[in-house]
Parts: sequence; structure tokens; C-alpha cells
Amino acid sequence: MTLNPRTKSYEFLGPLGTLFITITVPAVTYGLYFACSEHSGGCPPRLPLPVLTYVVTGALTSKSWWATLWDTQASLVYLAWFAFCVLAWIVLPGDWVEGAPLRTGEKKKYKINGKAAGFSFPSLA
Amino acid sequence: MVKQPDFRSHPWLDRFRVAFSTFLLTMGIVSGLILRSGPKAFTFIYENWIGLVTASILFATLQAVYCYASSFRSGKLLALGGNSGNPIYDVRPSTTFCSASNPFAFHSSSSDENSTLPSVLLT
Repeated sequence: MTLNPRTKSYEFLGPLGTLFITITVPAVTYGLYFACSEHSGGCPPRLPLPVLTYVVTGALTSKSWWATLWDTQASLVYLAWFAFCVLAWIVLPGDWVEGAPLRTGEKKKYKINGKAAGFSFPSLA
Repeated sequence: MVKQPDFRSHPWLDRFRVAFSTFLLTMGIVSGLILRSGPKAFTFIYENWIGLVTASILFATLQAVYCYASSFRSGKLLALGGNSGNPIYDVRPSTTFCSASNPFAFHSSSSDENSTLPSVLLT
């Protein structure tokens, strides 16, 4: 019995399904932001379909539009928040709990300080 | 297993008192800040939403790629559902094995923010 046997059956409709999920979820998130807010005139936007298609294809094919998706300040804040989360995990006290036994019988240890980390974040604000 | 709280030495009311005073303190600080400099400081997420979404997608993708790549190191225990040989399919569960004792994979203890499926967003 090898350590890592080959996967025989696909879940999530296989590679096509996972590809679909990987592409669709960000697309829907962006779509909701652009098409479903006070700036777009309601949800869904009150535009005739040809106009909507024209706007969408125009945006998707323009490099400058893709550049507007990036925000340096927001990304830095995001990384800072992630760093805070890592630090909170390291610093805050929490029990080391053994997880369920893996295939090899080994048990991984998990530090459980989610509650402390979760409460320390609003108190920072 | 995680130890159950000892209700006799820490009755609910005591814990509520501590939590309530923390809550009052936080609300006091927040109200003070808003009264002094307006609510602008607390609207960052709403105003920079699109940038945060992009950052979270890129970061989640980076994490997923890193975990997928690290799963190729010899001797690694891989998820049963993620060893089909097709990279698009295997990126998904291979990421769950980014070890729990590694601080960069602390999703095992706290937030959903670090879900490793690259398409699951950190909203």
C-alpha cells in the first residue's frame, strides 16, 4: 500500500468542475460589486442587455480596466491584517490539541486560540 | 480533547462581566475616535472593497500554489481526494495539508479568511 494512492474518483465534477468554481466565484464577486450597487443603478442594473454586453466586453478587453482592480493601499492593509493574524496565533495563549489520526496513524497538533485572536482584533480597533 | 470550562470556578456571570467591560471599553474608544475624526477611519473596507477582493484572490492563489508545490516534496502525506495527477483538480485538497503547526497555515484555529481553495474568497 503506497503512502499516497492515486485518486480514482472525482468529486466536484472533476477538473472541469473545479476550474468552473475557480473562475466563477471571483467573477461573481466582481460582478456583484460592479453590477449590484448604488453606483450601477440597482440590482440588476437597469440597462438593456445589448448595452450591458457592450459595457462588459469593453471592460474585459481593456487593460486599463484590469489595472483598476488593483489597489496598493488595500493590498498592504490586507497583508498587514494577515500578519496580525499570524502574530496573534504565535503570541496569544492557546491549548495545543491533537487532531484526528491521519492515514499513517500520526496526529498533528493544532493550536486553538481562535477565540482569543478573534476578540483581540476588535479591541485593537 | 480541549478541556471543558470549569463552571464552578468561572461562573457565566463572571465571564459576562469581563466581556461586558471589554465591550464598553471598545465602544468607548470607537465612539471617541468617531466623534473626534469622523467615521472615515471605519469605512475603509467598504470604500476599498475592490482592492481588498483582488488582494484576497491573489493571496489565496499564492497560498494554494505554494501548498500544491510543497506537496510534491517526498514523504509528504497527501489528501486521498487530491492525487489524480490533474493539477487543476489537485490544487484543491493538497492545500489542506499545509501543516497546522506552521503559523502561516493558522486557518486551522481561527478564521475562515484563510480558506485554501483559491476560489473561496476572504470576504
